[in-house]
Amino acid sequence: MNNDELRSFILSLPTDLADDLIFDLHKTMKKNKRLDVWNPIPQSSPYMLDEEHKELFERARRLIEARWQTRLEEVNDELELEIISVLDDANWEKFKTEKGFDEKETEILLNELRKISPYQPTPEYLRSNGQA
Amino acid sequence: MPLVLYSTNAYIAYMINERYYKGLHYVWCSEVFDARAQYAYGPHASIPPSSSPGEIYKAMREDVRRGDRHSENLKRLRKSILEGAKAKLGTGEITQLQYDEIRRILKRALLTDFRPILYIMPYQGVAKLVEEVPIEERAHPLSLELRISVLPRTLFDVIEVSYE
Repeated sequence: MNNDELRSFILSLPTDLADDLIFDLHKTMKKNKRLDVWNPIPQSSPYMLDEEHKELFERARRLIEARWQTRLEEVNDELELEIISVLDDANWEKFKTEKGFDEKETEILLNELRKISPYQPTPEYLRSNGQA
Repeated sequence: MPLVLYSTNAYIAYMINERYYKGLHYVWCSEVFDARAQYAYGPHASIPPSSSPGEIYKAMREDVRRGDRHSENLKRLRKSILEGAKAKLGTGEITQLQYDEIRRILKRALLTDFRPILYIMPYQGVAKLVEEVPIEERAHPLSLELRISVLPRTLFDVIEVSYE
């Protein structure tokens, strides 16, 4: 089995739902693992999928466990990154189609953010919760 | 009681916290800068590299210096920042539009945006905010690891150093 079935499954979901699903899958992979600053998902953060969508989680779990022959709770750091990369790449493709990705516009936004200096107080209009 | 706490973070995480989270920062921190410089049998000697601010700083600088866009550490970091945003979306602290913006920013960001910066927090200012990371969440069960979930910008200084 390759990654195609998993990719197709992610691509078949709306981006926001796939996002919640990936968040929950990743949290489950972290469950029995010690965390570090590279990936400190707060354990107290809520699960994102509602009851209605929990079956999606179980389907994704089955696909992952069949593809990599391991239980979700038992994947190591290396495999975790590989699985999450497959899921994220598929969802980024979906995101671009659904919500768009204008590189120039994003670059302008990034340049605006780069005006935030760690050595000077952040101007109020740049600390405006993105509502400037 | 320590004099200061140290925490290594990526510049891009700093920007996002300032812009989207009202200048409130989420940090893992340590009483010592570099666990390797500690007394071998002392309480800080068991802090693993992945939780030692000095060693994280060095690893991040090295990834950025080498131009390693595909570094596993940076992939984890990017994912971690996005998941932090996801958690904020879940609690209603940011909107869906802001979350989508953060996703695009992380995709477009340059390596230099991921360069490490060092937060230095005088302990007295953060004593009431700091919590010990529960043993099951630590990178090493014996290491003393600390966390501040809501750290205002006014309570820490930032520096960048050439630490190899």
